[in-house]
Order: sequence, then C-alpha cells, then structure tokens
Amino acid sequence: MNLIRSTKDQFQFRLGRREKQLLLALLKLYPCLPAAHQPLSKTSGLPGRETGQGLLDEALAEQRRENRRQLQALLADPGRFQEQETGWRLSLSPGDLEWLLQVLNDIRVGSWVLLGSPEERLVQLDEKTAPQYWAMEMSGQFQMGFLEATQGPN
Amino acid sequence: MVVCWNDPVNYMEYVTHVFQVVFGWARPKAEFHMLQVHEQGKSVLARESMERAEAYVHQLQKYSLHATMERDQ
Repeated sequence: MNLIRSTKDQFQFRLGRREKQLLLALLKLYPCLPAAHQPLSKTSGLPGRETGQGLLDEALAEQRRENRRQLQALLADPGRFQEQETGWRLSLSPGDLEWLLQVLNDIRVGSWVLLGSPEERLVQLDEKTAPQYWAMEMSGQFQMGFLEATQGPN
Repeated sequence: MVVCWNDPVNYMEYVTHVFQVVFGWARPKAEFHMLQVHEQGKSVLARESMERAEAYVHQLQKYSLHATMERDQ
C-alpha cells in the first residue's frame, strides 16, 4: 500500500488487488477487543471510581458502535475504492483515517489479548493461534502504512 | 493524574501519534512521553481535575492504549 496523493482534505492510497482483499478481510474482524477490557484506574478507593468505570464502559461501547457504523458505510460506498489498472485507489478524509487507525488497533490489540497477551513477539503457532497472529501482524502493517501518511515528509 | 502504561503490542509510532492527537502536543513532546512509557514502563501525561482526567483516559482507551487515572501522591 502506498500513499499516492495527500491534500488537506483527502488521502489517496494505492492498494494491490490482494492488499484490498486482505484489508477487507481484516476489517470484518472488528471489534476484537473484549468490552470493558480496561479499568479506569488501578488505584482502589478512588472517589467515584465505580460510577466513572460505568460511564467509561458506556462511552467506549458507544464509540465502538459508531466506528462499526462508519466502517459499514465505508465498505458499502462504491466511491471509496476505485479500480485502477494495477489495483485499487482508496480515498480517505483525515477523519476517516483517524477512526480507521482506532479500528485497526482494536483488531491488533484484541488479537494480542486473544493470544494470551504474550510479552514476547514469538508465539507458538497452531491452528488456533495462527489466525489471531495473522490479524495482529496484518493490522499492524496497515496501521504503519496509514500512520506514514499522517506524518507527511519529515 | 493520567498515566499511560507500557505494553508490548502498541507501536511506538502509533503511541506518539495518539499523544499528538489527544493532547495536541508537538511531535517532540509526544515522542518524549512515548519513550518514557517504553523505557520506564509508564508516563504521567497530565495532572488534571478528575473530570478532565476521565475524559483523557476515555480518549486514550478509544485508541486502545493502556491508560488509567491515578491519584497524585
């Protein structure tokens, strides 16, 4: 995947045919992270902690629903992916790119959690762990491609 | 205070980007805190009222970073 053009309002990426298939297969895995995955605080006895935790879980669940809605809209929009001679051109606004990064990282971190949150990169691969390892690595690859676009020339 | 904790899964580039977006920091400051997380296991990102700290934790967790709100000792 390459960034082919960027303006203030839009990024355009070129994806090979196989890359597009991989990205779509990956995005279908969203959401991956278990709900209420993280505590609001590690400090016990923090005033209002329980209420705050409830509000945080609710806000994250709402965010997830919104990301899912945007993802479905993106996948259903025929103008997003335009076929080219050698692959596809994907157009994204800066806002799209931002939530797509959240979606990809949910898949990456969620797959890592499903793998048992290993400290080391090396994971024992078998029929059960291979799909999660694939999702973790592939979402990281796309994430880095999109991140490069947000940074512009150094 | 808002604390971000180290984990072995989030990319350094990604963490830097999230700090820039959530706090509006310039890249050098975002990188400084990212490296603190990476090398020291955590970084205090903000000392704010409880309400604002909760809002920051929500923003950071939205990006799946390991962030929490802790009492300032």
